[in-house]
Order: sequence, then structure tokens, then C-alpha cells
Amino acid sequence: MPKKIELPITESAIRELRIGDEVEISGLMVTGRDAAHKHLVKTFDETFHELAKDRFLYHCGPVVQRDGSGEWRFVAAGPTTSIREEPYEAEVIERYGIRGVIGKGGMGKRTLDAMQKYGCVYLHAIGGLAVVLAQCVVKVHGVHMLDPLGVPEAMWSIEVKDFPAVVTMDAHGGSLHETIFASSREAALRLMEKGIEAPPRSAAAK
Amino acid sequence: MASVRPLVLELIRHTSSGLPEDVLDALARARDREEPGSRAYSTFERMIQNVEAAREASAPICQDTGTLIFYVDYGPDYSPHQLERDIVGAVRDATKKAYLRPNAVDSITGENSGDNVGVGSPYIHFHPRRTKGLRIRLMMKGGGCENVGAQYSLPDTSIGAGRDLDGVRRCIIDAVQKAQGYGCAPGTIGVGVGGDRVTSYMESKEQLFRRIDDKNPDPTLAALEEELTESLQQLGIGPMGFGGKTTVLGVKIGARHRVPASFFVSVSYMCWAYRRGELEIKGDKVYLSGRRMIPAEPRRRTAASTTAARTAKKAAARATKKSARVGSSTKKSKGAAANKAKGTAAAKKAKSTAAAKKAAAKSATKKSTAAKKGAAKTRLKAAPIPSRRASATKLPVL
Repeated sequence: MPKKIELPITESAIRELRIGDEVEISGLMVTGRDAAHKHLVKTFDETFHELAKDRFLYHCGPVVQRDGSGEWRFVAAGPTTSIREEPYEAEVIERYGIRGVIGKGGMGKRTLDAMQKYGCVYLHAIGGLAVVLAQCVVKVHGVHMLDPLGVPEAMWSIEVKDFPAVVTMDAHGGSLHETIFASSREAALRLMEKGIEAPPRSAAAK
Repeated sequence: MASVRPLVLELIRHTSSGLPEDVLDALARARDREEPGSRAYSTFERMIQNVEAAREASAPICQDTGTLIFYVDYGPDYSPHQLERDIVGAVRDATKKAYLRPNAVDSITGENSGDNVGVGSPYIHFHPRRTKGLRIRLMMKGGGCENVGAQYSLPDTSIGAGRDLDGVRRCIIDAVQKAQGYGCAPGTIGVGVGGDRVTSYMESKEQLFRRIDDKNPDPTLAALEEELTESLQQLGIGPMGFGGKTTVLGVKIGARHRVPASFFVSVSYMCWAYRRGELEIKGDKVYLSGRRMIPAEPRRRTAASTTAARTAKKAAARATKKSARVGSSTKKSKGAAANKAKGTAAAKKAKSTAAAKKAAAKSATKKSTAAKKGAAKTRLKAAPIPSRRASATKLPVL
């Protein structure tokens, strides 16, 4: 059964999570991707700090629609590949007190170390799950830096309900990505050594 | 040749908001191989849910609506110049309607064009053919899975790959293992063997237009495809790289001749959100991914013809009265007779239009109620797929 997570969350609650845990997240969080990360390490952004402290940062470039009354609505909101933020994420976690990073594909050693040090986890959302995840976004509270960054890159303050994810990097240095990479590499080498079963086609044989 | 812009718009909407049946079946089979309650099982379950939700909402299944790759086979009755204009126009329309995310970024300035149109975007391959008609195939390939593609130049000593089929096999295993879950596993693997660097990758992409459940006509490649589809599951990468029993949905391999000096193996990874669609025009029939599209009359013309019928009837009635009253006046009666004739013709025309409408509605009912109800409102619609407008007006969803 997935564990329920309510935002904001404390450091000790974050440290209870382990790799492989399935979770469902509810509460306020914020989106941010490439341009946002670049901006966040260049200056200290007060607004972002308020939106992100003790909450989660979601790597997502949504498709949004604005209805007649001016309300924003997320139409498609799956995760984007996180590793692109590897150069910035450790610093973003440290500066802004983020407790979780949601994305896909996992992140590298620097981020993993920062997570262990400051009490943060990586939550893997399902890529391509745009509609189901957009339906988990029950309300868009606002948007930060929409003008300079554009819709996909802007920082959206969103309220989610039962947003599904899997903890793949925890605050104890564990990474499911590393574990699976290692075991799959071994299996791949075994397969390669086993060699081909189909008869090789040779021009000389004809 | 009539504009195919609205048809291409529908092709984009349809492709963006759903998965082909063979892909959906493969995902369902993958789910059933996992233990219920496991991480992998619930992940597959959510993927399938997402596809259903996207179809219902007519929303993109993935927010990365990807690179738009069009393959156009056109007969002598089509002009590639107009087709290009129509396709580009439809891409703009689709972006406005949020079927597509603005995805064309200037590589030098970083500016997003905002409408998916830019240098080399969308990219369209034209192939002329002798037979009349038109086929447009569309693939939408997300950036995440495009990034994990790989090209090998054999021999490659790092993986012990020589210039033979065993070497090709090693490249595929290596590429799939390195891709992990990053390309949104389980993927379908398109492989191009031979060619030059460009055509090798092109072959790998073209392989992805094949159905997952088809069989390679080349027995050697068919055997390799089957073997790899089975044995790559042993990597245990699973959906999204969470671990699991399914790592790939299929492997599709094509080979091209090469110059003796080069031996390329190109691997294209297609994410589980495997979006491909096909529009085919044969005579006056239009097919969308193999299903007949029901062309509905545009509302404006329907309204106009109704008004015309009403006016014609009134005119006819007036003319009859008039001619009865002032029968002696030749000049007038001549005019009235002419009027009458005109009126009758118009009424007849209106009648036949109404009959045609009825017939169209009838045939639509057979296929789907949604199509029937939506007929007056929507220009063109494939029968079994409710459009955004249809679902907005709470029509039954099939």
C-alpha cells in the first residue's frame, strides 16, 4: 500500500522514507525545470523560497489552459527528465530547504549526497502519465516568473491530491537507480556472452 | 485537391491523445505478467488508466508531445507543396487547441516559436507514388526517449561487437541496458543496421512505424527480434526503471546496404507512450488509423440549406397564389411560373439535402451515437473517438 504524504513535511518524516517506497502526495508544491534551476542558483529567490521550503519541487513543464474566469488548469503534467538539473539541484536543496524532488530518471551523486546531508528524497513519478497526474493537480494557486520563462519553464504553485510516486533516492544514500543499473549491467553482459541463437546470415554461404 | 488541413488536425489530435491498440495490448500483457500489488503492476495499471483518461478528455497522453515526424505517400492527385502548407497549418491549429505543447525551440537563441513551426519543424518526408490517394503517417516522439537513442560504429571493442549479426545484437543489448528507465520504459526498440549515419538512424525510426505484433519478413531478423524481445526482459529494468519483468515491448530491426568501410547500428528508443497514427484517403473515403472517418456536414452550410429550403417553399407558395389570382397577366404569370419552377427546384434540392443528411445520420448511428450527435457540430470525426467538444457537451463516451 502506498504511504500517504502531506505537505509541508518535516526532516524526520523524510528520513523515514526508504528506496522502493510507494507514496501518494497531497498538499502544496511547486514546479521548476531547466530555466528555473538556472535562475535559482544565480540569485536567492524569496518567492520561490516561500513556495518550496519543506515542500517538494516537481520537475515538470505542464500544458496549461486558462478558462473564461482566468483560472489556470493543468491539462497534461507528467515529469520531465531530472538529470538535466544535476549541476544545480544540490545547491537548490541546500538554499531553499526542499524536502523532496519529483521527476523521472533519478539524479546523480552530488544530488544524492545533498539529499543525505540536508534531509531530502527523490520521488520518481511515472513519465508519460500526463493526464492522470494533471488530474491530481486539484488547484493551481499561482505562477511565478511566467513572463520571462514561458509556460513550461515557469514555477507553478500547485495543490495536489494523492499524487503517485516511488522513492528512488532516499536520505540515507540509497539509490534504486544505482542498484538496478548494476544488476541490469550484469544481466546484459551475460546475455552478450551467451551469443546469438539465430543462424548468422553470411554472403559466403549463398 | 481539397485542403487536408482539418484531416491532419484530427490525425494529430487522435495520435496525441491515445495509443494504438497493439501498444495498449502489449502494456496490458506486461501488467498481467507482474504480481498484483507490486510496484511494477501498479505502474502499468496507472499507465493504462492514463491512456483511457486521455482518450476521454481528448488531452495529450504525455505533456511532451514530442518531435512531429510525418511520412507522406502521395499520389498524382496531390501536390506536395499544398500538402506541406496544410500539414504546417494543421500543426499550428493543433498547438492553438492544446493538442500539442509548443515544442520548437530555436537552438541558438533558445526562443520557443510558440506554434511548433520552425526550421525543420515539423519534419515531413515526402514519397511520391503512382496510385492515386494519400497516406500520412505520424509519429510523435518525446524528447526523453529520443535522448537515450544510440549509434554504434562497428567494430566496437568496448562491448566486443564485431561486424556481424552478433555484433548488432550486442549493440542492442548495450543500448537498452544503458537506457535504463530514462526513456520511459518499457520501450519499443527500433534498430537500423547499415546505411550511413543519417539513413541508419532513419531506418531505426521507420521500424517504429511497424505494429508491435507483426513479424519481420526477413527470417534472420525475425528470429533475432523474437529472441531479443524475450531475453531483454532478463535485464529486469521494468516500467520506468523501478524493476520488473518487462523491460521492452518489442524489438524491430531493419537493414540497409552500406559502404564496405562503414558498419553502423542505430538504436531508437520509443517510450511506452508510443504515439503513432495514420491517415489514409482512398477515393472519397477517409481512414484514421484503419477506421473509417465519418465526414459530417459543417453546421453553417446545414443552417444555410435549411433557410434556403424555407425561403424556396414560401416563394413557391406565393407564386402559386399569385398565378391563381392574376392568371390573365402573361407577363406576371410568366414571372410567377419561372419563380415557381425555381422554387420547386430549390425545394427539391433542400429535400434531397435533408434526405442525405438523414442517411448520413443513420449510418453514423450504426457506428456510434457520439458521432451522430456530434455530426452537426464537428466537422470531421472518427466514429469511435469522442472529440473534445463532444465530451464537453456530455455526449456518451465510447
